[in-house]
Amino acid sequence: MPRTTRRRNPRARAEKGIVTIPARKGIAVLVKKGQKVKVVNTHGYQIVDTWAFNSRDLSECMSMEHSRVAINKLVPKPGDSMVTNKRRPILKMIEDTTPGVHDTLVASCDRYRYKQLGAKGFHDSCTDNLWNAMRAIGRKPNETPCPFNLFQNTPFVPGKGIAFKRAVSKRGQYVLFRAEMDCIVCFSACPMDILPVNSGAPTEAHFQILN
Amino acid sequence: MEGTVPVGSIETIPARRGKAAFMRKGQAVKVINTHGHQVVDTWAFNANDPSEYMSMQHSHVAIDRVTPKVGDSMVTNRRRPILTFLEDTTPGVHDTLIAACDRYRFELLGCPGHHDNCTDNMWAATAALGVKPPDCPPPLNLFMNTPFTPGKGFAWLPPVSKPGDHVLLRAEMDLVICLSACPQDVMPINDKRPTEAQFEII
Repeated sequence: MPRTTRRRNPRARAEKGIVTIPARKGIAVLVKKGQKVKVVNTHGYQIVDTWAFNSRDLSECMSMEHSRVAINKLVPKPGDSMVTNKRRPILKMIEDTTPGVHDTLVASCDRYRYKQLGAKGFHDSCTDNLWNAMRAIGRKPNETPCPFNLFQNTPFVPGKGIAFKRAVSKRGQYVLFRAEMDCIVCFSACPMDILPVNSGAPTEAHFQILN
Repeated sequence: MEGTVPVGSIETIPARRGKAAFMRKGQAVKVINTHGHQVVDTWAFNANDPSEYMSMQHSHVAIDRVTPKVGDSMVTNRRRPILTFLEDTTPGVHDTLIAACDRYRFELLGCPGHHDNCTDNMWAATAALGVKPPDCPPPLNLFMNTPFTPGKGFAWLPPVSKPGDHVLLRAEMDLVICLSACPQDVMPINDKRPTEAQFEII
């Protein structure tokens, strides 16, 4: 995808309709408090790593380790609010048409992960996608928080470990969130093509902001 | 060097407080649950670049479990080994899923005014060594007994460690170890009796 396209104001485009999260890439967008954001698994079986930051103070971010306590679950269900590292609600899950399989335990993929998996040379990664997508809108987070891995099917089985399985969400299934504060939401269409988590072929996904 | 703890000296982590120390690669830290019912939130930062730190979400993948066992190496956010479990005399119950307690947690639990918390302890203890982490990473909650049961959620239980139990962790790089004797006295994770704990660098 040409850099010029990514540098356009994503929010202006988003409000007109459906925005593409390009295959293997990321995009960040401002979502105002009360607006909803729908994340669509366009082709099915695609993971979307998701982060959210307080738009006024990026040091406040959606935190998996704080959210697990707040929702008393490892994976949220509709009605649950993910919280920030200041324990304030940031994204509330309103609707989930998938089987509800998502992950909050596993770090986003990064250059180090691909090196360990034997990838030669440069490989896209969700961590780089976060930084590039934030840079494209002129913002810089403090850190890479643990992501909310939408549609990721990596169940933890006590005594057996973490199973890296193919996503179960099908074509067109989606998750709908409501922003509980003005926030920058960043999505990455996970480029993992070594482990079978994206069905082997990373694809694009889409999101839409709804008032 | 400022913040260097004498090797072999038993150091106290004061009750409700944190303490940080430099460690050389190959040294080990023995974290002692002096009274047996105390959680110790633990962080480790690359001594040369604290933007590299022990990460629970990366370690889950590296060790392929959510609770480390002897032989497991916790890794950093650059997926390099940083602390290896050499010994664990406890029943092996620790937590990697839960954020450190913070002022917000105690506000939500209804505590009026200031309450000591592990997050502030981390910032104070690292600042005392002149180390500036980019953020408060998820901690390794040693001795914390908060098992998660699908469909039921987390249970907040006192530690199962006995007085004097310890874990021994080897530094896989030059690092800053930061330990906080958790001041949680609302939930029973410290048996509502937060105490001091001890550590020794070997």
